[in-house]
Amino acid sequence: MPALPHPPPGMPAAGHVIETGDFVSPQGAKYTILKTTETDAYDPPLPTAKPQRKHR
Amino acid sequence: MPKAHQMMKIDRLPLTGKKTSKPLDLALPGMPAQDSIHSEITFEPKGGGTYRILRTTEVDTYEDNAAADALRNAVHGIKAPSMAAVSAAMKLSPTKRAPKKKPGGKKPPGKKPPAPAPAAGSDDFAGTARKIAKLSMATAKTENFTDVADLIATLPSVTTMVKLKIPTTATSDRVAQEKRNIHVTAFLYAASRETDHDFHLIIGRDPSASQEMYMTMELSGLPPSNSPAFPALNATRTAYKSFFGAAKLPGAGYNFYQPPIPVVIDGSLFFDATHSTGQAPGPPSLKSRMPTIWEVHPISNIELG
Repeated sequence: MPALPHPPPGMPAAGHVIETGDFVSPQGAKYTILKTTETDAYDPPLPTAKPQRKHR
Repeated sequence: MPKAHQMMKIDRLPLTGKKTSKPLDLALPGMPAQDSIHSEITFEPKGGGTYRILRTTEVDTYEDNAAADALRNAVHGIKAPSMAAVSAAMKLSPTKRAPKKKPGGKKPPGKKPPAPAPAAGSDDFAGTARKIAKLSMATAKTENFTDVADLIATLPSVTTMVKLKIPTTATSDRVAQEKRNIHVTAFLYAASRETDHDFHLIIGRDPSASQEMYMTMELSGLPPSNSPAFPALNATRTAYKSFFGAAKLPGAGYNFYQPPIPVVIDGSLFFDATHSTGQAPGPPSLKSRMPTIWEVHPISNIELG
């Protein structure tokens, strides 16, 4: 059986990502920054973090 | 070093403070974040076998039924959720649609949405809990680690630390177990900026390591400029901000980095007594692999990239 695609470790849930952008460090390394709706559980949710209805 | 399975066993539910019937191995595949579990039940079906049912506060984000809505209201944005409110929410029907909120109506406690923390706001520390400890470094020789898991393996258990009943007042200084300085080579996976102006850095192992493991390390908001710790904390914070530049700093929501950014961190150990019961820090996507509420706080030196 072929290996299933596996996301790299440490990635957020796909549904929490609101924006992505490139970042080049001062040393020249390239990264992607993924902005998310995730907050610490005891912090108030972000205003954009409203639950969305699932299409059934 | 103990194996990940040993390091991620708990004998007490952080959310409620209750003891588990037997140790719970959170490193097993498919386990929930430890601070989402509010109770456990033993289940012995007629066909045989014994199972443990872990009842959690986790709900699908898109659910808008009364039970899910009540559960979200009971836990999200609340440091120490009321178990009575959680239990009441669990009894509601998941098939009943949540009542529509009236504009301008009274909002449930803890749900007041904050203004997102500005990426380039004040650098001064704006918190109070354990301020003395958070804004000072331990006096101790530096211990070197090349793997976050090795560092976590040296930390006293949460159960041990909770028994110390560390005060969370502003004048609460480091206890003996926290008087340690560390130097660790690791990776930055995610970061956010808190309302007290700390940056929460989620630091983990090499991405090629077989068992993921993360812990929180914090860039403190700054103490007054006459504080002995000010020069180091200011230089560290400046180094972090310079690396990203103002436009790429995190706000209230966690930013994740792909690939994870290599980082070398120096700092003092700190037990997050404020969150020893209730909900722990960390982004929901990684919390199931954050076995401890110990932190490095403050970070006194950081090298990124």
